[in-house]
Amino acid sequence: MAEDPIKQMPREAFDAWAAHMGIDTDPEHLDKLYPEAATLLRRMAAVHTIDTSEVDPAEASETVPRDMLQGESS
Amino acid sequence: MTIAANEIANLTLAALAERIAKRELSPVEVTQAYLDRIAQADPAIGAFITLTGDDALERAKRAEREIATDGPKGPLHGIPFATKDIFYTKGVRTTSGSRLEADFVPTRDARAVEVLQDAGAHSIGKAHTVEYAFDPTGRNEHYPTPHNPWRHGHYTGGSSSGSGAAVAAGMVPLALGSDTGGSIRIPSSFCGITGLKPTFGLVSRAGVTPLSWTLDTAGPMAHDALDVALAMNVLVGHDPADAGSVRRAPTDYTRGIEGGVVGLRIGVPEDYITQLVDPEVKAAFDVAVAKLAELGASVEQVSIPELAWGEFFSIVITAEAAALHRDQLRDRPEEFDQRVRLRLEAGSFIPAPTYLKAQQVRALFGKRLAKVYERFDLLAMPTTVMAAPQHDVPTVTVAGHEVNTRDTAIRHTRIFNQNGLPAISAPCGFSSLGLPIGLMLVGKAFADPLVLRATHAYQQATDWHTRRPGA
Repeated sequence: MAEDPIKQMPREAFDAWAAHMGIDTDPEHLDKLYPEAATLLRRMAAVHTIDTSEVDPAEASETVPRDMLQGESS
Repeated sequence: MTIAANEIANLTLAALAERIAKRELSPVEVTQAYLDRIAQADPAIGAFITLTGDDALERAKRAEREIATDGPKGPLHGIPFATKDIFYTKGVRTTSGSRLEADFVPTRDARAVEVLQDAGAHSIGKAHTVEYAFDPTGRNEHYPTPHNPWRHGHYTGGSSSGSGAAVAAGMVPLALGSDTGGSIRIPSSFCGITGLKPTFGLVSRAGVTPLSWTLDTAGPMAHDALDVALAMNVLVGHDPADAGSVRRAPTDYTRGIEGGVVGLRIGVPEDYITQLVDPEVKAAFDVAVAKLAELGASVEQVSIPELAWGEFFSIVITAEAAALHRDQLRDRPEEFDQRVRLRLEAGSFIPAPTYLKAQQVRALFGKRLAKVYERFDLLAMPTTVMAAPQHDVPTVTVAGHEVNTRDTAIRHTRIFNQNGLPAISAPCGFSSLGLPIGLMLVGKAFADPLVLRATHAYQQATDWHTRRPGA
């Protein structure tokens, strides 16, 4: 299991990163943003646990997968 | 033969085209009938943000003259349509559902609007959208959230909220929508109409406000599969102005639509569906699949564990949307719909390696789906796990689980945007509250004609798509 990303980005680090990104640092706004970002951070940690070694990195720029185009004529 | 105005508004596009061709109806009569329906129904529903009735009538008069002289140039000649308010319309305000774009008046039409107009159709108005098309419920903080024509106070689905409501309520026979994670299919399901997210790249997105450039797909919404096919015949075409546009041999999407489903192999990811689905939705879906089997399809359960990756794909859309709106978020954050703002700002926390990892997961998902499509022609699922929820309810209870409304609405649809697959939603029943339920059929890339053929076969054997709210 990946380490809990919320532990990796505690609130203080989140606030600092938000300021760096030019996001409004009003505490009330950041209170609302933190849970939204936390959900995404958990998904981000989980996505890195998927083994993608069978994917050629160049394939990752194709919306329609080349495997599904075999036999297709355009 | 005289056709009453209220009957005109309930006709399909194909039926209208036939009557226009036979001179039983004129484009002006048709357009006026829809304007009358809008005047009567839209104050309660709120499908349109801007009406262009005068321009539509002028274009209808021109179509009438052209048809009188040379006959119709195709089935869309003289047909009105609604345009989702993220498609540019020359000289007509295009808000993208945002206060930030409240005064934006494009100097050109989106390519999709242009080709419909070239075919003789005319836009009757701009249909509401959620802000920057970034919400699946239909909710909009600054402009009125449309009401579901089947039940006031319930969502239409989004982001093509007004498009779904306008077709369902008989205010237009055709609407343009866009689908990045389900934005054509969810409102089609919630509103009881038929909407196709075409294969990525078939329909130009030039002149459509982007949300996520690797996922955004434009497409048609109508009453049934035949009408969708007629619209696809006009909408599909290579456009160098859209970097994602593909060049394909011309296809008649109505050709073979009567071919039925005998011998088609349909896979049902039962184990994924049953993890979270409203019992009424599941029951209607099961009956629909049984009907496809009765019509001759071979229906089998299939396990696709990778469907559980759906939530990872929010990384791609959120990162791309955050990148697109970065300057506005920095300079004018207060003008956003505040819930949309939070999601966009959260996207600022996605590092580039994570975005690229999510893209690799997409590609891997495509490889796994390609294997599935060696065994099946189509996949079938309920379009959404629930019927349209009430407005402003942040959570809903589905099969005893309290879940986030937004994430749950998009659960079945967004997974198929990842690889650009063609996916349709067609009505297949109603909940006990009288809200529509949708059947989603998904084909492999460029199997749009097959998706339409199977849907048409289903609709020839059922009448869900013929029902109208308030009838």
